[in-house]
Amino acid sequence: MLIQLIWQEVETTGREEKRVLETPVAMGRVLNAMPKVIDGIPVSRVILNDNQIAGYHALIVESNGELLVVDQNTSTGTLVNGLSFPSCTVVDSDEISIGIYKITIRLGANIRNTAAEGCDRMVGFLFKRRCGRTQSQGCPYCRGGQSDQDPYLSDLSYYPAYGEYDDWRRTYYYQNDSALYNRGTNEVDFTDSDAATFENESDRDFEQNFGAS
Amino acid sequence: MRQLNTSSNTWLIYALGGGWGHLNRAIALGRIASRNRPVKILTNTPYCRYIEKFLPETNCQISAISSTADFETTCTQVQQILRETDYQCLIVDTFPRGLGGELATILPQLKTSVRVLIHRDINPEYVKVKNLHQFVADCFDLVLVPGEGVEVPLANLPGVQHTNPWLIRSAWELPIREDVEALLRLNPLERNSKLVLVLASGTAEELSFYGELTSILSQYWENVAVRCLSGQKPDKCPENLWVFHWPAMECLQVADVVVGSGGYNTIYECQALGIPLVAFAWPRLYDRQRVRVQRLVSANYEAGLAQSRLVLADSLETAIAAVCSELNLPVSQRCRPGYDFVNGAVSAVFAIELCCNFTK
Repeated sequence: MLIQLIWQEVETTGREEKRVLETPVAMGRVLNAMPKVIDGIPVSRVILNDNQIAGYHALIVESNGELLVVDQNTSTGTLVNGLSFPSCTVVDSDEISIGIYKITIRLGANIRNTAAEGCDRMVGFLFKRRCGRTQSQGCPYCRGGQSDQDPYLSDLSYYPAYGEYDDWRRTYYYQNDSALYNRGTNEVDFTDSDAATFENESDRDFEQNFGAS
Repeated sequence: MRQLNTSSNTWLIYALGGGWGHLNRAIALGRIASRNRPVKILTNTPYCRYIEKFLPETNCQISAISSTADFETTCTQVQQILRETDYQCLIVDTFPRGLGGELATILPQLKTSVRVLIHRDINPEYVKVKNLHQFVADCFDLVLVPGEGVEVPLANLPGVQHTNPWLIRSAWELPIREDVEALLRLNPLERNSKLVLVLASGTAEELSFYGELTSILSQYWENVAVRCLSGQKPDKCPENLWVFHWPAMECLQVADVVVGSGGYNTIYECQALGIPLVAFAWPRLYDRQRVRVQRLVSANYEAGLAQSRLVLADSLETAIAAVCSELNLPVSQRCRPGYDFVNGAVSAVFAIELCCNFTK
């Protein structure tokens, strides 16, 4: 089932995140703590950065046509519309609280309306752009959190919330082990996503020629 | 209200750009405005050299930047002229940020002069990627649309005013028919024949195309005169059929049909005079010739005017067919030149004067 999760990325960018994902969806603080596959079905994994959140905190799964949120026996629990349950059925517009995050769930036609605009996740290192895809399948950038090979999974790019950039030699990246960069030169690679940004750049011909009219 | 800090009443017109359009539009405005103030026109068109001998009558001072100057040099010269000229009003034709973006940093700081944008139709993609809506709203006191309709990209900004198309001549200024026939070197036999006038301009390839078209048309009929009007003789154009006169508008009234581009001058001059035009819509980076032609074809239809007034041609063959069709029309169905048009440049000068007086 296709669902959409919407939350405010309070700890990092402050940006509103809107992800369209295939169930099952695992939510937690550590990518590798969350299962990649459940019953042969790839799991969409969502990383939420907050110390109150367990490495693998909750799972959203489809069961008998209903959508179920299952807490993974965490100490802080998972709340649905403010009430704590070990597992709970959710419907469109319900709010799931995990740590500091309040996540709104959108289903059915409400997803289609927003999904038509494409994935809002920002990808690219030098030039951020919207992923724009509506299907995680075949998307080399976000892939709905399904692959830990996704170089943009944690948005480890030159970004205000990551690392201290006033001294590149000392604190290059807060999480530089996971960043996509050339370990030989310590330079971040120019990614294919950045290249795609240039491909779509349509103003490269404007204001370049005084003979135009 | 902003206070102007200048003792000058000069109007400076930024008219950079290839082709005839920017220069002609600037002169159309400047020659009327210069009756009451000095007008200086900044241009880099390669056509400037063709009209040098005609320029004194415009009463405008022309600052010509070489069309072959490199990008950086042109930017520097434009910025230098803007810095060193004392002017009451800066009028920017078509490109709000300058054709090379060289005005983008200057205009926001230019608080001591009235800033007017002449909004000829432009590519909406350019408007989008350069965020021109915001830039124009922030940097210009007045936006004048010179007859380009209400669907131009910046038409929804506050302070936009529409005028009729700006023409290089008002009706009463046009020469008499005999003088035009002499200009076009029509012999006595040709003066009694129908005349096809080819207005050749644009790139070298486009000029060559018009030259070939002139040659073909001249062999098509025995009793039809053909002339090609252009700054330089196009390849393939027979020498005896090529003439140059500026402004071309003075020659249109004797033509039975004109073949030319969908550019600003050609279109609006033919429309004003009611001369049938077979127009090619050439691709341009900023100008949308096809949009202009299609808009006016629709407008003519809605106004109940003869459809032969403006025909869009896509090839040599369609152009020849359209010319034939026009020439074969019975006299009763053919367009006749009209001299009741209104030159929008007059009301444009008035609108700018009002804006300057309000900002004093």
